[in-house]
Amino acid sequence: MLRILYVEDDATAREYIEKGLTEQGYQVTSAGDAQGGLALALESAFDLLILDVMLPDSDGFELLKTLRDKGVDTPAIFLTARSTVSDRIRGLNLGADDYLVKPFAFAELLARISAVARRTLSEPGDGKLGCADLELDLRRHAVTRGGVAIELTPKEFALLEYLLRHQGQAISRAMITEKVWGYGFDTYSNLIDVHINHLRKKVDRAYPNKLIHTVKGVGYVLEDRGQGG
Amino acid sequence: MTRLSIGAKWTLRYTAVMLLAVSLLATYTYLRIDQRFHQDARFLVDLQLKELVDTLQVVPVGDPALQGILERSIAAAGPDLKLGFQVFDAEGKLVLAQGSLDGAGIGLPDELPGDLDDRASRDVQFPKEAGSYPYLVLTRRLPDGGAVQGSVYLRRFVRNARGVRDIYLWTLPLAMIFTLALGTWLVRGSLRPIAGMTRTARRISATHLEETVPTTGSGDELDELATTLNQMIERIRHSVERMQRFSANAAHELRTPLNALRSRLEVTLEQDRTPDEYRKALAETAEQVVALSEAVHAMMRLAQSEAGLPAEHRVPVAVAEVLGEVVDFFEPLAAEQGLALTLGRVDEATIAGEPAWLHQCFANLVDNAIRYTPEGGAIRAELELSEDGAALVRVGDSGIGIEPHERERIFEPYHRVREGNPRTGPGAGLGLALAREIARAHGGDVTVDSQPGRGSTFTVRLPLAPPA
Repeated sequence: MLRILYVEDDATAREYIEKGLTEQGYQVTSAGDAQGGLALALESAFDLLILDVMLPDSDGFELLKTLRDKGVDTPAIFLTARSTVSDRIRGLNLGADDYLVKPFAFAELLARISAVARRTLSEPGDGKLGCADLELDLRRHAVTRGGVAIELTPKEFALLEYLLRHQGQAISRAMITEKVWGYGFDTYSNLIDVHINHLRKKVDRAYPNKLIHTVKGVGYVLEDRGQGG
Repeated sequence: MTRLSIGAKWTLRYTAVMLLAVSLLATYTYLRIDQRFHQDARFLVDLQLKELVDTLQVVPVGDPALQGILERSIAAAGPDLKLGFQVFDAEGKLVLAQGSLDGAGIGLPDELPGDLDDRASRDVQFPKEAGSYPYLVLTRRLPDGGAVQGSVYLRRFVRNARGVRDIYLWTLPLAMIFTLALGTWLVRGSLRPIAGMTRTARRISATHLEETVPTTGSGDELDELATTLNQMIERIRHSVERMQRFSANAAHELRTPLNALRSRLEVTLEQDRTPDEYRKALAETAEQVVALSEAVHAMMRLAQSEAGLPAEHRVPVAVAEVLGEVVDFFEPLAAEQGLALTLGRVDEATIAGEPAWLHQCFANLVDNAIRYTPEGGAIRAELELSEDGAALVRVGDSGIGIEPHERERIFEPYHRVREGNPRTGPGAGLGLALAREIARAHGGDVTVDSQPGRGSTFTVRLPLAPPA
């Protein structure tokens, strides 16, 4: 079970997020200020930190910095109401693994949590990623399904690679925009649907075993759900 | 130290400098005059001694007539100068003393002048007249091996020099007062316009931005300052107006969906309902909240770009690359709507900027073009390097076009009067405003050219050199 430390000063948000995360099977400990958060983080081990940037006694950046200085390298996700470029850069420079701007969708937070929790993805030894009969060769930059070559544009290739690396895990549209296209602005995350559809046409259409699935309210997941799934 | 006004500071500095200059001049003049008077005294004694030497050729020391001659010389010079004479023989023995040197007990100097034409000069305080002025004693050798000495009382000469010094001492405070007065007058005069500016600036607040600082039109430094201040006030006025308009619009944009949300929630809670009804109501309100969140995100983005782009967040951006990515990103959407989105001429241009912002800027323009171009139309994006050193990104469409009176207003936040706008709801209506703010944050701008019914072309101008 993933142990999460959640530091947030807004009691209502804390209550609901904590409830939601607990219902998702996470073991959540929460604190209302930086001092409490620091004490908890130093006292027991966590797998993930979720830190609000604006805290009454300090800020999330300072908290993470203190923890990093003390050798705590638990992955961290920042939650913030501010989304200035400098804040984002500062957060990521401090070794935060993700940065979510309020208001955010709960499903978005869940997707980020599972992505960060499984960050320890290792580079496949043979340079190949695969799912069922789909295979992506990173070295040859080639994709085959059931041994048949599939032609992809560079962006489609990057998109498929990202989905394959996170297979079995729901990925939000905003995450795809950020990680595949490399932009933080999320206005056009709906356009991701169009790109996914193009990819589906090439990867899934001709095959009965669909691999790319829509996750309602979140985005997409690539996984082998068996014949006709 | 207490605080002094600029005027007082400069007046004091000016006075101090003046005072120092005058003091130096006075000291120098006094020393020179003192020296000159001393030379005069020496010249006077020298003349007397020469005469005595000449006289001694014809009238020997023992001659009683010599005494008379010397007495006449002493009398002729007057009691003020108190001339005195001494004659020494070859053995250095005093053989004659007359006038002030008579009985003064002054002997020959330790070293006699080497040459007959040389003189040895001493300032001597006669013991019997303690406290008074010194005498100048001049010594000359005689051809027979003896020597003569002459003396003059220096009171008159010293007094003359001191008189000059006293004049300076008296006039110095007067000069200082004059300098202070003049300095104050000059500085006040030149600073008076500043006081006026301060008063105006103090009056100006968010509610009195229509005031301006008076300019003289003289083109001097103060006039320049006044003009600069006025420009600043003008800019502040613009942003305050824009802010007021923005908050009014934003409040309106949020109020409408909030109102719907509230009604839905209150009506749902009015009576008991089936779980299905609750689920439906919750799902619908969740949808509306998401839309509201998006609206807030959009406002935040606009506010951010309006705040500008600090230099430390600028990196070299290959504009062509960003534009290419945007076209790639939108191409599938355009194709789905039966539009041909193509990349035309693309020059190489690198600017200092923020790639994500530029991406957003171009994306908003392409998105706008897709939205207002009917099926079968074409959208063309291109990048031209202008001769005056700017990257010009053009997004042209064959869409419905924009009426002339709308061409500036479409850039205003929440301005959505364009007919056939397929997108409504919160969050819409900021796209072009954001594109323009991003371009402005990069020191450029977005402009539009349009022929109603035939299409529009938006041009993003991005200077290659970063704005100062």
